Amino acid sequence: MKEARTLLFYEIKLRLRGSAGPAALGLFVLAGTLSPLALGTDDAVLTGVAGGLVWVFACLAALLGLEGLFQEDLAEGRFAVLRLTSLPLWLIMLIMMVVYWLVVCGPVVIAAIPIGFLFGSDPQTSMRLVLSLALGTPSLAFIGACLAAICAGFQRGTGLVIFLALPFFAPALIFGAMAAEGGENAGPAFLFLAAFSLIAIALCPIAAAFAIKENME
Amino acid sequence: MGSSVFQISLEIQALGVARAGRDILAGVSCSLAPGEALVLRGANGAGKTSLLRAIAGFARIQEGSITFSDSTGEIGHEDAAAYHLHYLGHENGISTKLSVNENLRFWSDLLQHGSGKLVEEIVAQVGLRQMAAEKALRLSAGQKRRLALARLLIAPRAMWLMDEPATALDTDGQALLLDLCHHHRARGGTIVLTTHGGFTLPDAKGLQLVTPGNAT
Repeated sequence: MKEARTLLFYEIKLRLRGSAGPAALGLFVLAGTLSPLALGTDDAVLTGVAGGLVWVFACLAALLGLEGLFQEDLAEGRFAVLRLTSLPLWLIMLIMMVVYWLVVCGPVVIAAIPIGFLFGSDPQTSMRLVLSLALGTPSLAFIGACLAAICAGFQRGTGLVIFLALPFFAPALIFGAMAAEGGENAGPAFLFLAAFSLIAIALCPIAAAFAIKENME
Repeated sequence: MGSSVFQISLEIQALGVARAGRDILAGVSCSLAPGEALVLRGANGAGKTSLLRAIAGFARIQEGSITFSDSTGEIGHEDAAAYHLHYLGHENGISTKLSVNENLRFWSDLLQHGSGKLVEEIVAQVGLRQMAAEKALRLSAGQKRRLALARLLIAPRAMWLMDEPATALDTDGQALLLDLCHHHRARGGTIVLTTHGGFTLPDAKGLQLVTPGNAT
C-alpha cells in the first residue's frame, strides 16, 4: 500500500496549492460574517437561523471547490499515469475524494466555531453545529466530487454539477440543520447524517471510477 | 547493459475498437517481441491513438484480443497495466502544480519497483537541471515533454506506448528520445509509437492503419 500512501501525500500537496480550499473557506467566512450584520441585532432571530444558514453556506462552499476538480487531471493526462499502477481506480477516486474533503471542507468545519459565536450561539450550540458539519460534510464532498467526475468530460461542467447536486444535498442540509438546532430530534438527525455520509463514502468512489473510465474512452 | 532485462511480448489479434457506435479500429493484428519496436502510421483519425489506448487498457475492446506474455506465459491485462506499461500521450501526465523534482519523486514512489536511479541523475539526463525546482507549470512545451520522458526512466517498465513522442522536442530532445529508445530496446524493452512521418526508429516494424470503411 506504499502507492496509496504516496498518492495521498502528493494529492494533499497538489490540492493545497490549488485555489479550491481558499475559495471555499473565503466564501464560508465571508457569508458567515456578513449574515449576522445583515440580519440585525435581535439575538432570538440570529440564534434561530444560525444552524440552517451555516449549513447552506457549507453546501455552497463544498460546491465552489469542484470547479475543474477532475477536468484538469483528465486533460493533463494524470489519470492515464495513475491507471497504470497497481491501485484500482475506485481507490484512486476514494483517495482523491478524501483529500478534497480535507482541503475544502476541513477548514470550513473549523471556521464554523467562530462563525457560530458570531451568530450569538452559546458554546454548546456552537459545538453541536461543528459536530453536525464534521459528520455531514463528507457526504457533500463525496457526492459533489462524484458529480464532478461524471461531468469531467464536459467543457464548463461545473454549472451542471451545481444543478445536479441540488437533490443530493437536500437530505444532508435538512438533517444537518436539524442536528445543529438541538432538541429531541437532534439525536436521530445526527445518526441520519452519519449514515448518509457513510453511504456516500461507500458508493461515490465506485460511481466516480466508472465515470472516469467512460470519460477516458 | 547487453543482457535482456525485460521479457514482455505483445500479441494483437483481429482487434476492433468502437467509440460512440462508430468503428475506429477493425481487424488490426500485429505482434511484438522483446527488443522490437512498432511504428504506427496513418492519416488523422485512422485510429493510431486509439490503438495505443486500447493496448494501455483505456479503450473498450469490441472484438479480438490483446495479449501480453513473458517467458513463463500469459500475463493478465491488469498486471501488465500495473507493472509493465508506460503510456506517454499527447497530454504529458505531469502535475503542473508540482515542481519538476516533486513530479519525479511522485512517479518514483508510485511506479518504481527497484530502479536505484536518483531523481537528480534523471533530471540531468533529460536536460532539466536548471528547472528542477520550478513548478511544471512554468516549463515550455518541449520541457514538459522532457519531464514526461523522465517518467519512462525513473520507473523501468518493459513496454513504452508513445503518442507522437517527438512533438515539441527540439533537435537535442529528439536525439535524446532516439537514444532512450535505443537503450530501452537493447535491454529487451518494447516500444509502440505513433508518428506522422518525421520521427521514426531504426529497424522498427511498421503498421499502416486505415479508417474502417475506407479500407478496400
